[in-house]
Amino acid sequence: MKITRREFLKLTAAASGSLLIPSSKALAATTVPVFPLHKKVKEAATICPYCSCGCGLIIATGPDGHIINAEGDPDNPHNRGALDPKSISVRQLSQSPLRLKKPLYRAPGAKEWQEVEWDWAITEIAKRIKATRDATFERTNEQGVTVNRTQAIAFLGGAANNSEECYLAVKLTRALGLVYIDHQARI
Amino acid sequence: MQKAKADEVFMEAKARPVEAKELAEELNRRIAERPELREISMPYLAIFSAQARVETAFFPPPLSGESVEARLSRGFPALVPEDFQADSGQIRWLWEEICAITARYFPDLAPALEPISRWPGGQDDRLLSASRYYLRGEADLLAKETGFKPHLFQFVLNNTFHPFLRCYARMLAPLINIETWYKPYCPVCGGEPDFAALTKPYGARWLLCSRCDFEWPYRRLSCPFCGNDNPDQYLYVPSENGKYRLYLCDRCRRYLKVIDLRELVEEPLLPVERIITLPLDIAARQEGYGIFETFAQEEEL
Repeated sequence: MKITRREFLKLTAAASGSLLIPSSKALAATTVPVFPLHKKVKEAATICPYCSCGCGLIIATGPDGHIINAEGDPDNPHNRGALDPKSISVRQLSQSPLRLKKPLYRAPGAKEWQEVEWDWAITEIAKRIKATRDATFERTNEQGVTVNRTQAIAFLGGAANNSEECYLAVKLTRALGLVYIDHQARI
Repeated sequence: MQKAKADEVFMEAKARPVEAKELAEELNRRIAERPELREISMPYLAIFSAQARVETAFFPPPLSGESVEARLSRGFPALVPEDFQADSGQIRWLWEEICAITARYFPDLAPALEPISRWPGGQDDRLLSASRYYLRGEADLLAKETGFKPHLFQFVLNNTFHPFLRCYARMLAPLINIETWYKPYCPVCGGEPDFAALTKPYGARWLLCSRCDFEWPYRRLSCPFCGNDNPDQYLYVPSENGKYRLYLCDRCRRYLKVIDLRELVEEPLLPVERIITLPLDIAARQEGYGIFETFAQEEEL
């Protein structure tokens, strides 16, 4: 590392507590090892998206915004830094070449899955919900009590659904008349 | 999920701070491994040796466990400035020794050190009162009063009182519950950190006190100087071998050197790491980051 004497004095004018940075003689001999500041890493705390434990994670991203490391958050009281193997692999959610990027559809009786477009999948789901609901809707039960329900459709939420998403899901499913509603309550 | 036991992470309190004699031996070993560090490390080797002489002869007066507990529960450090007691002869000897060593290895600084070495004339009691300024974080006020270069004065103060405070830290360590402390300043003396380690097995960050070498855990994703926890403003730069990190706060423009112990088999002594990582200090300063709040007021010597 080449630093002029003046630059050195400017840098070393301040002692950092116990330290005083080396003598000008040492610098003249340019023996000070270099520490290049070429790559800044950002660390952010988040929650594992998998099971219902809600373990704390630290996600590190490089200057290009890509994840370069994921590890347990030692300050999170839930897991204090410990993670199970699935959580440790959370980086693959964004980087695995095997991750799904489109919905897969397997037609009734078919052996193979096929990639489909989101528009097609959402429309198809909506059509089938409506058809099933129309075919199975019960306005009253056997005692004549009004129930306005369908028992042919169930809703199962995931661990990654937050309170707000669950609120919307319940609004939708109740409006449809579903009675079998569940999710992995967590965050 | 594997639940970590609390004591796995938090109760790894070592028999620290270690004595200056051991620090000197460790620094010698490190110099032997990396000869390029010899030149920048030699002054500190001499300082450790001088501190070791004081440390073996100093026995801090005991403090009441109840008062320590009461202070800690209110967020105050165990040792308040008025508690600090030491023989002024011992302080005097080390004060002059630190000045002499510094002048020997940093000849450019000799003229500025000469009046510091003589200070405060025959009034050695003022050295004890200087400890109060120092522990209150007001060394710059004393420097202003005396007209000395603030950071050079701070350096002499720090290295003079360091072994005394290390002894206090060793005495007070058993009384401190570090798990409930979790503050950015030292539970022993209230000092700021100037080094840290990410510990095994889960990377909890332990800070090293710049004054007494006590180590305690604190939040990893927060600047210990200003509390900034914005991920866009608190970043780190890793070393090429992944062993060291330089945390940089873009809010207060201060930095913290960190060693990642998970990358190592051996258990290094952090006060020695503080010294052999001087290139990190230089790199941070070149980028405009400082270690002290008063960095902006630094002057050329």
